[in-house]
Amino acid sequence: MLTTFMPFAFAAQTGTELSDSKGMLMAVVTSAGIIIVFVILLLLIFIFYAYGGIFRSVTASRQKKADARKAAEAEKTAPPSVPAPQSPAPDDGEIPGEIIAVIAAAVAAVSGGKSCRIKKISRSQRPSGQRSSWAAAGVYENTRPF
Amino acid sequence: MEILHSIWESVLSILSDSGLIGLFQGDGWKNAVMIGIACFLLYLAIGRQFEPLLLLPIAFGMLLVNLPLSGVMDVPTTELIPIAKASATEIAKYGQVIMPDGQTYVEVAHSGGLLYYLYLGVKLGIYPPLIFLGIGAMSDFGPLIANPKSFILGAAAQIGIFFTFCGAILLGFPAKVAGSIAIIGGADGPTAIYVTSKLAADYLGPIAVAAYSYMALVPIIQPPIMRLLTTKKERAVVMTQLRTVSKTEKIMFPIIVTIVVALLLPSAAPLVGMLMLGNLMRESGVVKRISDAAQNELMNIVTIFLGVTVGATARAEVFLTAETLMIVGLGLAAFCLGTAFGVVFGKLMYIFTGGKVNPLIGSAGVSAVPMAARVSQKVGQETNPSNYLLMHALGPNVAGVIGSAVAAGVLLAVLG
Repeated sequence: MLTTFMPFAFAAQTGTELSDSKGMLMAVVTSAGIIIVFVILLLLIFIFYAYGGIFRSVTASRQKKADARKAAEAEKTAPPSVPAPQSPAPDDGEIPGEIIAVIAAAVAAVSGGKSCRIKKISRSQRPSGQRSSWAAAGVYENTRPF
Repeated sequence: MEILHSIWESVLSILSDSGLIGLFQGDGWKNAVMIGIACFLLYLAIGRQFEPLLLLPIAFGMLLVNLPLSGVMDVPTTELIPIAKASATEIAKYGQVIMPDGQTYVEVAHSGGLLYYLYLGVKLGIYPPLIFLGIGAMSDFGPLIANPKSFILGAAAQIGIFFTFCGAILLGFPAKVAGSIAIIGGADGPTAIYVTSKLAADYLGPIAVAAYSYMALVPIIQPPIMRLLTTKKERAVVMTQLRTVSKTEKIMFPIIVTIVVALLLPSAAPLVGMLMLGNLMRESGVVKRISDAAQNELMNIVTIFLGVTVGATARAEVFLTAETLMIVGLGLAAFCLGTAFGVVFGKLMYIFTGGKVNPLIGSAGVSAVPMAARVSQKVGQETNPSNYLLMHALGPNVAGVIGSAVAAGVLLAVLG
């Protein structure tokens, strides 16, 4: 006879005896129900893992081929290399000057043209496991409709 | 003086023929109580916005059917009138029938109430699969395809259904009714209505009201269970970003699920099949017009019919019984157990993946899309404000819809 914990635990608690037919019905429905639901959904997990793996490998090989083709084309048509322009020297040895210029422009835009002076720029330390502000803003934008 | 007497008699006659007097005769007080309950549900729908799209029509259907003499749910009847007593018009309209006693009668047909005819869509199991068509057209199964492990959580949250079945049997409910009560734990209104209409149509009113009430109360019922079963460390887990799912994968998904589920469990085919048809229309991108119709016009029309007619099954004589209280209690137990099993399986996944899965997404394994996923997100952010669990929770959430349809199929196959 198939058994499940619930009916027998309940019977023990209440001290009542379950009739055989009721006990059998509960055991059959509970066991069969849980087993069938899990078997079907586990089967779907295996199918979709295999299916996802196939798709990813196909996509990766296509991407690889496309990258190789692009690289080959770029090699053929590439102009003679010129030295890249040097970025402005860092202001304090840590933050590049162009970043400081962008931050200053953003502050000026936010302050509405009022005169203000930036005294210090320091990198904010975010706790481990947290997203950066940009990543958080992106996630927020995508999940806002929900 | 005679004129006044005539007026008084007319007023009395109108009053005695009105529904008002019905509230004060016999069991009329029960109707008055039901009208009060309907008004309270209307307040919840309008004032508190608890699942208003369904609760409002359900409450109004309940109100209509409990107004004495409204006749909105009257079944069609026929009346045999002896030919001698029938008028010429009746004879011409309905024709004559000779009964076995040798007498000739006129069979006069009286049509049923409006909601009786609309209710046929529930009784014949038509509306719930149509609602599933709309849900499928609105659902994005991407998070589930990207992380198929979510199916486990969708299955785990259905365990509560089967334990509640045992509870209902122990409380003395017949097996078919017990199955219908237990399916409330799936937190999926259309599934609960579909199963109940097939197994125990007389209990449709209390079961549907309980199912939709708990769906509306997801943000109140689930968080304490989630907090109780998880540690702060587990709730703070930030999950890695899901992979991008290609369009082809999304198109193949509904086809594969339909084939697998319908072959293994044919009784789940109407619900799962319509859910997946709606999703295929959405993802294929070639039938945008009918996908939009399924998501909007069809869904809205069926929601009105389903809500009003399900509400209209909550007649006083059926609803105001001790059994209804037991159904409400068992429904709550089913829902809480489903949530708890989802979270417990989430914890197991947390352990087996070395802390990569946040157990809070397990509670979204009960259907209630997307409310249950939103609750996972909200409880997760209480511990870690920069944590976005929503997309991760949507996987188990849509897996729960498939899981509850499969559980419904099992109950129908075993008990039907």
